[in-house]
Amino acid sequence: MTHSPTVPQGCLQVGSRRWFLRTSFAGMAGLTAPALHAAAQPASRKKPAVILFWLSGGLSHIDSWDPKPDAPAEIRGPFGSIPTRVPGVRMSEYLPLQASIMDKLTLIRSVDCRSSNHTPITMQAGNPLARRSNDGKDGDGYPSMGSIAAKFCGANDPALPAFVGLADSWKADVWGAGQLGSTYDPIQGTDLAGRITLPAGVTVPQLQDRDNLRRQLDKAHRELDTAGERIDGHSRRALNMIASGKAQKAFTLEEEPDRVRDAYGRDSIGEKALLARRLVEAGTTFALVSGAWGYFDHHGDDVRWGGIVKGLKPLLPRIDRVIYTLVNDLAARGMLDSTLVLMMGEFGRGPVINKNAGRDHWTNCMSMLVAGGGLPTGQVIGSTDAKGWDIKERKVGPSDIAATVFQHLGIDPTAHWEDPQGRPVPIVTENGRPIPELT
Amino acid sequence: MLSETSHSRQSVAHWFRVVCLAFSWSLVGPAGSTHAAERPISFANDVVPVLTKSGCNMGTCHAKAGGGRNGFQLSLLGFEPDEDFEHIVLEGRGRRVSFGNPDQSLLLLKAAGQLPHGGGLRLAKSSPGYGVIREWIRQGTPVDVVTSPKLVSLEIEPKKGLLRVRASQQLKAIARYSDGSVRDVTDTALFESNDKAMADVSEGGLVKVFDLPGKVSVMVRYQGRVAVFNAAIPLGAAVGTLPPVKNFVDTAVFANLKELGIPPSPVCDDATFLRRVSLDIAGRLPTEAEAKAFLADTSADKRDKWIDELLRSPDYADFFASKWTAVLKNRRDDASDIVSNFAFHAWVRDSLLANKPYDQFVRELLGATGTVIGNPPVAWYKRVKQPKDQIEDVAQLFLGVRMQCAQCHHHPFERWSQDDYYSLAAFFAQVGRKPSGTRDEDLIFHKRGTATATNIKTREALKPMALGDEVPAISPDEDPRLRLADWMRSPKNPFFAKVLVNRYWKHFFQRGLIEPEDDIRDSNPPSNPDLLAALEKHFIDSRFDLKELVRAITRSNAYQLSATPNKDNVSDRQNYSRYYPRRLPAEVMLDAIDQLAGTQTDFPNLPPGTRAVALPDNSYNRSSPFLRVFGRPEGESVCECERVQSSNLAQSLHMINASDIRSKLASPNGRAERLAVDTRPAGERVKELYRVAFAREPRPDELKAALDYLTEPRVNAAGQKLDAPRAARENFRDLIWAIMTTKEFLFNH
Repeated sequence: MTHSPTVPQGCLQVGSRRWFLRTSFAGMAGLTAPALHAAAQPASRKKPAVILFWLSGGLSHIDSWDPKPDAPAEIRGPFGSIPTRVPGVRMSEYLPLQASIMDKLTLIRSVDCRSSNHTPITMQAGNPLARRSNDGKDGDGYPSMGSIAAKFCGANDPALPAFVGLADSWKADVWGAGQLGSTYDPIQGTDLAGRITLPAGVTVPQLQDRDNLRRQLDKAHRELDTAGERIDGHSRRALNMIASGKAQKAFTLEEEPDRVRDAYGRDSIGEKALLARRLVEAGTTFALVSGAWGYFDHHGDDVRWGGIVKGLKPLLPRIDRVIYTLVNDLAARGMLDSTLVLMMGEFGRGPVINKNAGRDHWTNCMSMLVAGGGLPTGQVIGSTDAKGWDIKERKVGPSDIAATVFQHLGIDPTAHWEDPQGRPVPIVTENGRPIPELT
Repeated sequence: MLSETSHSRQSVAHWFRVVCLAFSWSLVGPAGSTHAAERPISFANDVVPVLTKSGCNMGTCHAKAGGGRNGFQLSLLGFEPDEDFEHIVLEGRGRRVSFGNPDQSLLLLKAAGQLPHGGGLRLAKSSPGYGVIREWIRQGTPVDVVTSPKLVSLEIEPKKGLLRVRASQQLKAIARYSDGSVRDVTDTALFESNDKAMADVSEGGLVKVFDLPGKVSVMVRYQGRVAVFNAAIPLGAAVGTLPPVKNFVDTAVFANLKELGIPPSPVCDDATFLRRVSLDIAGRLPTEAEAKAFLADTSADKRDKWIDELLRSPDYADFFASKWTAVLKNRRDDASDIVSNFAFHAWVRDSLLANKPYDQFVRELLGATGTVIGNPPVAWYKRVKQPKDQIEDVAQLFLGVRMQCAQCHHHPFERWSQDDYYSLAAFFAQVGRKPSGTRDEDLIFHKRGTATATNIKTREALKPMALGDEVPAISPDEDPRLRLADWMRSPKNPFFAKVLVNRYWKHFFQRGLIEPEDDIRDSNPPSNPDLLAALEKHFIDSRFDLKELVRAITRSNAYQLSATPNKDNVSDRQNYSRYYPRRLPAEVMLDAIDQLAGTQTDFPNLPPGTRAVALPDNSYNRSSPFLRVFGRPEGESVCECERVQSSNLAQSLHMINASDIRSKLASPNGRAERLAVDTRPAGERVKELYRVAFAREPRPDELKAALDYLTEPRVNAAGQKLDAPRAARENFRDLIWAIMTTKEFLFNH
């Protein structure tokens, strides 16, 4: 029993017995492909994509990318700092691999996260108006950057979902499409994986045949067409995705040599990072990677995730390795210039170590890491004051991040989408603009 | 520890964003300085409203908890003008106001964008609001917080209106003060529509309605007062003959349709009714035998009888227990929770099956003492531990009141103050806990003593008071929680019955008379007040009889209207002129698929054949990708909105290709296998599938499509013809799959 991994022509020959065969799969692919976006890209250049690492809980900026070696001990914290490949730029002693490729990275030390909270909403939306509210109107209808990418770019290959989330704790760590509609919600990678592989003996034409039967029987209740029109769209895309086999292949991590898997790390974030790279390579536009829910929430040794030494210290080598490996891997595959890599959480952490050897939430500022995307590197953007208390220069707001991401994806930052009332909503709010140092 | 920092502030911010985006004075406000010089500027009544309208004192700006922004703090929405005066005039080393040169006051330089300001431009130099503050400073910042006339009422003009689709209406906000003076405060008041799909309102109070017929409200807020404009937007079509009125529900629904000119769809046919009501009451499809019997029954009252039969069945209790246990947070966080979760679920289910009066159910829950083994509702106190969470859940779930805001400040568009919050919390102040014999389970008891709770702001210890209602003194031996339950069940209580009937109405009609269903306030009125009042009265008169409520709702012809729209009511989303289709909930869908496929899903540690609607807690979501992907709630929230009923790509992928669906279709004991070897004519076998899936016979075109599929030769991937038994098996699998993925199957309609 074999089935053809490619969609269009072959399967038409085999399954020529049933209804609707003239409405071919090729046509279906056409429906979902964002033709404009695809056409706009010169054939030689790879289509732009984004991999966003979500450090759920909020990484301590002082203990990672914004060390304060000269500050008093209660601010400086328990870690030392080391020089990097870029003179004058230091980072935590537990990030040696990142330090060794600092020339390929950009650190932003002046991210304004005052609108953020313990929520993926604000920073993943790149929008200070998208907030957690706990009143059933979380995010106030605003979509995440990935959902904007899904709507405006679609997938780089129609056989892949445009926006994939790889996270253990979906609701807590992934923000979706808001009022942009469920069509642009991220697809949960863990759920996806088991559903795109055709079992032995099942063929694409067979799926197509029974789907044609379904459509025939579905005519009875036209009044459900409005309520169910999204379902019809999802069904079409789902079938297309399964038929092509490309997504299935992307999830087959076993295809990677052991040394690559070891280099990424066989932990949660490492495996997801490798998966994200494979998905982007296959045609996903926006991949979100998150480890455990709140695992950077280092309030202190009295709570679940521990304090700075007990909790953060073992995690730093993981994010160190994963960035180092991903950046080198993307470069080796010629994908670094087309793939923008971001690493951030919801906010920074308090400048003063608390009585439980941890640091509490800090929304005045945070640090984030940027790599790839063909953007300038080897630089630090912005700074905080001597205590890491507040932004000193070059404030970068959430919407500046969104504008930068959209610019990379080739989306006009002045574009709008329409809310359910038909009113235009800008994709970049609050006068956000691409970060000049990254253009 | 993912603790909250300023959630309630953020919800306030939601209401204010409009103000932030573009501030303009569309009407004539207090004019420039020469004119304003004619009268002294009032800090409380002129200056503070300007700060509020400009968004300066939003929860996300200078009213942010813990010091405001950049050292400048204001009270939230200007609720504390005396504090605001201190912050503006006395703090900041006097730089915030400059008497000699008012335009050089830091307050104005920042607000007008003359100096860098995190909040951007708030008050253009040419704006009347700027003029007011400038003049107030020029007059020497007079303070009149104590002496100024107090705002005694806020009115909106007009109070109600009949608006054609796409029409506009200018609103006027009128403030009345303790000295008898009256002012038009339209400029400085804040307006908000309760349904932005139906009507929008500008900052200046101009209402524009869109093209959806129904009722919509616009709330106006000014200095802590709220008034509401209610608009009816008629469709104005000829209504013609209405279905017969079966009970008070029909009276109220049809009167509303007549008033708005929306002709209803006709009453649905028997098959549609049977499937719809079985799914809505019992969370399951009717069986083939039930469908056959019902369609053959010629008695006039067969629909009423079927409703009663469903209400007597344990399926009703299972289905509604799944609804209640989710919002009561019966959640398994730890393997050891299994004991209390099973006990709690059984208690809820048994209460529903026995039709325990709702007030008694709530009383047993709120007043629970002892251990989960002896008294299962104690488990609620395990999930909801802090008095703060207890009152917030109780208020939202049983009273439809969102108290969260009032923990830290006066509710911005409700009458609830911090005193109301803490005096409600006082009912739970004497809940005692000690370890019980069961691991991780507390024994809950009434701790003897006088119940009080401390207002975090005033530091005053408050006695129990129920949302403004005094309760007689509670002796130290008495459990205050029982007094709260007594207050709730009083026939005069304006919340308790209302939120329940609204919640149940939404269960059957997909849309509450008030939306969201648990947000009842004067500023969010029901779409059909007569209907809500009639349901409330019926429920109280029946002594909180839940089954009777379900009976009254489902017996009505309003509930039994067809889902097929006519040319006029297609745009109706709120007046129940037709049945609004809805995707089946995750558990119900899984059970329905099993019923159609002739299979069952096994869950760990439960007897084989346990239906998904009967699952006691959320833990089974982990082992069932189906339940997860179709949005079964995790019991994390008191809000029913946690349940997701929208569609997504993962669901479609699941239906097409997930292993659980595939194995159901291919099960050796399943229906496909059985029908493949069944010797009846193929048409009979197709009809069986239709009766099981849709409680109806197939139409000729459907029968033909199915028969064509079954008779066409089938080939394998290599193009070879399959032998007949194998082809029949695969054809029936395909046919069942095709039926279970039609929208007619996935939706209740």
